[in-house]
Amino acid sequence: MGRRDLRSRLAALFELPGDVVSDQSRITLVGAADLVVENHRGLLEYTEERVVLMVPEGELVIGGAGLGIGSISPDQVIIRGQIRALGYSDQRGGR
Amino acid sequence: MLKRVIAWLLGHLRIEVTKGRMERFLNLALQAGIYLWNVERRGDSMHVSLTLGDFFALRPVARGSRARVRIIRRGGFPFAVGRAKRRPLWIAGLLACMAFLFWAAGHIWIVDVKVTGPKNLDRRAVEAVAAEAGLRIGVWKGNIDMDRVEQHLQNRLGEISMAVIRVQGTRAVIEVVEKAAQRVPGQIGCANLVARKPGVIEEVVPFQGEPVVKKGDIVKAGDLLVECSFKIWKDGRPSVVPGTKKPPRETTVRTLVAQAMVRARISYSRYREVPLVVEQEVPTGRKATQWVLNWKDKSIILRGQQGIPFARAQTSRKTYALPSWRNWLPPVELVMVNASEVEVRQERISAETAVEQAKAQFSDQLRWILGPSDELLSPILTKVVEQHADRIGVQLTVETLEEIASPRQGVPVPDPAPTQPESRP
Repeated sequence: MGRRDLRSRLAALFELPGDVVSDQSRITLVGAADLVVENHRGLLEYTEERVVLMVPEGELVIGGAGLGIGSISPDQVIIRGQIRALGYSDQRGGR
Repeated sequence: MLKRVIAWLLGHLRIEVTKGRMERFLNLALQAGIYLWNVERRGDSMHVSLTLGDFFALRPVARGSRARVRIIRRGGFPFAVGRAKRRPLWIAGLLACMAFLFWAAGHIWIVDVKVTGPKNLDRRAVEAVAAEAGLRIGVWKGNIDMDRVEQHLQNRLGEISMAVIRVQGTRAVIEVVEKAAQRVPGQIGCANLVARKPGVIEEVVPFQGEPVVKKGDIVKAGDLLVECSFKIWKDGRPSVVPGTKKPPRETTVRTLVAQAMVRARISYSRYREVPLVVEQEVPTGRKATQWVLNWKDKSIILRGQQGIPFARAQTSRKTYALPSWRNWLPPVELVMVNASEVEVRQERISAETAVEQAKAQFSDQLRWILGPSDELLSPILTKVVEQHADRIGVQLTVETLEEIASPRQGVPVPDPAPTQPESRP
């Protein structure tokens, strides 16, 4: 039983939300204008049309127009603008 | 929001980052623990906001990402102070403005009077009496003694039964309730006044209606006091003959809502038993603690398996639990039960103390029974009627003067038929 499995089982046993115990990101989209990503690992790409964030699950790709960073701190990043696409990409270059 | 307020207090900068790799600049800033906000990409450059303190930690970040940093705007408290130092008159004006606001907000500029009741009371009279006690336009709020003003209003204005003062900002509202403001049942046309309690009538002051009782009459609860009728003499007003009584008015003209002040002497007599031996719980100093772990619907005793080892104890519980999160409640909690052993000691009190206790209890009870205008006519009299080894029986009596009139719907009389004009031959 791997360490990740043990955490998942413990979370299920104690009825705890997954992001509290295991190392996962929490992504909250408010309408199509605000995206809050908690537990990120850094920024890979940032343009007005595309933002790529490193998260424990892989790479989080945010597409849109007029994208900006509302605030950025080691544990949370807030993306603002017209968000049109959101997806994961496991490998860099494979997006 | 809090971060922005802190940023304003610490001072903040808007910088332009050019050249170099922007993503690397942001990641290095994150690693350095620098909080950035309002990050805007503008072609090859980027505009970023950060606190003044963090700006000094930005040099290795800029060097590591080969970026160039230029300040384009400054803001916040430290810069505002710097600007203000160059404008002493502006600061003086601001301070004067704040002082004026503080001074103006500390005074009463509006005095409102709200009268509840028949509205016979002139508001100007209330304002004048309040001004005597210190509540007037332009007075410093700290100098107003609300209790004193309320008491002064009640003493000086006999027409009011209650006065309350509320201060809302620079406005003082005096709320007064006029006497006889008791609402009678709606538009029923006929409301009698009946006795609420049995007693001996002491005073009848009719305002509307025909009184059917006089001073010295004995009434019981529900007896009619003032009839809801307006009566006249059948044959017109009788001539006054000294030494003779006027005949009673008999013809009812119309019905009305009776209003009167009817005060009566009321006797209360209560029997009370007071124990002469009082039990008191005295701590012995011995304590015990039990720890219990509650897991969903199961309880596991971690410490103190034998339970609370005292026959009589005062216990207190304290629960330790993880904080709840959204709609998730922690399934585990730890409960600490503290028990302090007590022993019961019996103390004997004297008969005089027991009588005083009975008197105090009866006095408390009377406070609930009597209205604001009611009064005690005599002190509470006590008489020991039974005395045993363990208890004492006390008879308590008192006489009060109370307002006993209470409205009750009556039967309205039909309107008198209009008189027919005489037919001419």
